[in-house]
Amino acid sequence: MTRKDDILSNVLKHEMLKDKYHLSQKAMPKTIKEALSSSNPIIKSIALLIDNLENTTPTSDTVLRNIITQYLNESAL
Amino acid sequence: MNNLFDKWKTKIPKYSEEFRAILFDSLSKKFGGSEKVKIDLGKHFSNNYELYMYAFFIGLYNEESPSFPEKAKKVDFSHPIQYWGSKGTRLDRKDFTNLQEYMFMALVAKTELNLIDLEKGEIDEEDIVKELIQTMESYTNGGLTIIKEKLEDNPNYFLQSTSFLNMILDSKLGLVSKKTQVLE
Amino acid sequence: MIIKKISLENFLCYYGVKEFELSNGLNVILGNNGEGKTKFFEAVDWLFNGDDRNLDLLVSAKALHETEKNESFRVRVSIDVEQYNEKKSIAKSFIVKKGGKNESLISNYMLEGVEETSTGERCQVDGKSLLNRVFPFQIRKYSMFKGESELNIFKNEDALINLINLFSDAKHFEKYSEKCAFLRDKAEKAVEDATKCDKKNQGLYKKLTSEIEDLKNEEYKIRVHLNSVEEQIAKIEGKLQEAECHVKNADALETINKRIKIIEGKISDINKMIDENYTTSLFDENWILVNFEPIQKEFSEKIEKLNIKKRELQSEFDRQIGQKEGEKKAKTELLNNLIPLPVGVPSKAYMEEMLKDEFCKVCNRPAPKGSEQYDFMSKRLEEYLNSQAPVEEDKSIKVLFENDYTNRLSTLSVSHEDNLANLRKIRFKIKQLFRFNDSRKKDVEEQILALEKEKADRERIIGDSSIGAEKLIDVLKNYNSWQADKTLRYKEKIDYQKKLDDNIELIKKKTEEKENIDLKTAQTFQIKTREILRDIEKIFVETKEKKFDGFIDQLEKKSNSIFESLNIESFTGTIYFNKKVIGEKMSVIPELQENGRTFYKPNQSLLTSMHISILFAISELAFEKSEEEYPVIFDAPTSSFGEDKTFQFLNLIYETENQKILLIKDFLATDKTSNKLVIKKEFSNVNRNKAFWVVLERPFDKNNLSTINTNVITL
Repeated sequence: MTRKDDILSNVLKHEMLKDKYHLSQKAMPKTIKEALSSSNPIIKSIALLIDNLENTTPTSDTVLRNIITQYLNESAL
Repeated sequence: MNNLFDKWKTKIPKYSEEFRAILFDSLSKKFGGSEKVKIDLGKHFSNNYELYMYAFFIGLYNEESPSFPEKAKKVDFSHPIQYWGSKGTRLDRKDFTNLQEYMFMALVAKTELNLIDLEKGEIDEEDIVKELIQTMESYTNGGLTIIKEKLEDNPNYFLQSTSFLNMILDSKLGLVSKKTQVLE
Repeated sequence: MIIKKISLENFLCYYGVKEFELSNGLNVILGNNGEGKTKFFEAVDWLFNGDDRNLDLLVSAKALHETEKNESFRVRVSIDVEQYNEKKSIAKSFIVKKGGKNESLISNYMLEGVEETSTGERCQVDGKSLLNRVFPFQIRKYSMFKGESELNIFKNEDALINLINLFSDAKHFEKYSEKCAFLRDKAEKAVEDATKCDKKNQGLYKKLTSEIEDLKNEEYKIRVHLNSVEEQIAKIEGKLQEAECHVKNADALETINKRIKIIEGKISDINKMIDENYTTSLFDENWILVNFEPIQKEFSEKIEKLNIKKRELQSEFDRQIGQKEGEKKAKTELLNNLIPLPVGVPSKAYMEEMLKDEFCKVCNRPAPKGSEQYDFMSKRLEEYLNSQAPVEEDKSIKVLFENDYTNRLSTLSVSHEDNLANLRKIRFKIKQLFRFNDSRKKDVEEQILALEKEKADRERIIGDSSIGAEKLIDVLKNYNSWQADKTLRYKEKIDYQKKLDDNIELIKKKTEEKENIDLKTAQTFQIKTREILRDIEKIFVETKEKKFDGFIDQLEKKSNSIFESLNIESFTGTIYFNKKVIGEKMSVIPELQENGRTFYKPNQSLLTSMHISILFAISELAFEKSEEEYPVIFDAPTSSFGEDKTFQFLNLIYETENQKILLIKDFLATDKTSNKLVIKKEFSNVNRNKAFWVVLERPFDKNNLSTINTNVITL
């Protein structure tokens, strides 16, 4: 298991995802790759964040913000 | 249907500036935020409007309503009556709406109002409300004067937790009603 | 990694080459004060962490003395280690060239590394990188301790963070909290900016924003206060516990303290029941209306009069109009010039009922069909129904009253009529409360008497203590004032806690208010984005905390299991890691507890065993993390123990896994007959893997360093 996947699986254990977003543990993606292609905004945002921050050369704050905020704004429309 | 009460409560009554430092600044604490931990056993009012209301009732019960001298400077605390004692941020306290109504009733009772002409449309509503506010300011003025004199006689008078209550109970009307009300 | 050998050459008191062939497990190095224990520790420390500064202070005076002018010699410390079955050695050294008159030339140091593969090949490598490979810097920090005071690693503020970075997954989550906060912040700003564009709410929004800001500042301040009160309580508790040590009858003291606590609790409970917020009750309980009845009467009479006057004028007016309108005239005639009741009184329902029953319930007379009364009633009803039907207004007819203020005033009057009974009860209620408060105050007085009695008893018990009389008065005096202080601080703590809770509640409320404005004005997508980013932040932060807590738990469990096995003074308590967060900073302070009670002033030997337990726990964690064991080196860690306890201690840590090097001054004595320093026979009962004795070559002159030479005897 890579660090990315490990962090992802730790984060996806949070109860809020079950209680508020009604996501069952079974439906959770197992790898960052799966998570990145998720259609669920919160899962995909988390994946984008991890993917970005665990890269050897993380992007700048502004770029990161553009990627995630833009994705979220569009998915909310 | 026309409603004088609704109109009246949007007003901000004033008081004479002479009382600001000696009464409002010393007897009322503008707490903002949470009140309940700061109330120190009756020795203070938790808000300016509480002192104002208190002084009004003191004036009312002692039948003291001197109008302001012409040149007296009037000040207020820019808080319309309708927001006095509104729940808002006052945790653990009660709403004052009914006290507002009682004050209003007292003002209507104590003010010479030409309501007939008002209904006929010959007098403006605004003028009537103005008169009500004037009465309110007069009684408050009377009450504040009484409180001030109390303090002048004994600067520590309000250090007792019962002082403010006693002043109400021992007012002119209070002594009358004591005889008539059910005691036991 | 295991250290196989440590060699010292011309390092301070170690003249020439001195070697320590170490074993895995427990290595004990005995030595009297001033005979080379600490110098050994300093040599190893210099090898691991030393730099080029003050090299001249490390040179053996004897070596310098024995060397001819212009000749040179070497100062060197080296270790041979074994790591994964490979032998490695690291040496740090410098050259001293003797000049005239105490002047000598000293070179910079050299750090050399040699690696030997399993096939026996040796090759030179960079010493610094080799050192970090065999014994990583971070781990080294938790491996060497000089004296008892250094054992408390949590004295250092960053210790916890270092530990986390070394051993816990929590470190991976650190950066996420930061980035998430950044993203959430930007999303909040986007919503705020959108809301601010809306002119309508600008004022209120601004006000709420600044109020929230103020409240947050307030919250921070309260937390600082709360924290300082807690620290004061700990200090006072510590002093009390220290004083209690002197008391002979400790059990009785504890019982009395418990009783005092109960009584104090009772007093505070009763005091809570006493409600003396009379000024607040003036408003909240409407006590201020206690004298209002006559005024209310005045009001309702005035309104009643007004009503009558109004109807009078209306009928007068109607009569005048009625000359043109036959119908209205007829109506006024019918009433013999009296003022008619308003149309609609009695109500439609009552009128219909009376018609049905053929009975006028107003005058209490029968009204059979066809009678004058019956006709009157049906006419009244008809009149009412007509008045309700939409009438085409005759604009030519003038209305007398354009406005109706009276109606509302009447309603007000009627609605408060019912409340009169309550107003009349106020005086009674006030009296009742006064009576209640008075009797509670009496209760308090009784409790205070009981409290004083207990306190007198307590003084007697404290009086029977093990310290001298003049000091006793001091303790006694302070003991009571400390107790009083403690009670006061606890009250303060409760107050601050309450303040804090209120403040938090208020922030929540204001934030909700503010967000309601957002909901009305900002774009839906902005709000949704903000919500998700908030949730993501919460998820990451809480995951980090979970990891962090998990680590602390693990450390606590391990420390306690070692602590239990050390079992110094048959202490049955546990180590508890007290986590504190102040502002952004988090700290963890290990405490000793027994039956839930914190020991604020444990004695040094308990403290030492706690610290050693924690250190061993850390080294176990290091083993789990890197699957490698590292040695620990302690110089005089147990000086507070005394020989018996040290004996016990050594036998216990002998059982723990990794390599340990312990320098102690115990088990040495001067033989009375020969006047020579010898090792006591008790030492033969100490379980150990290897033991050494560092001892100065006799004779020596302690004022002349060039006579000093420590020999290493392997036992």
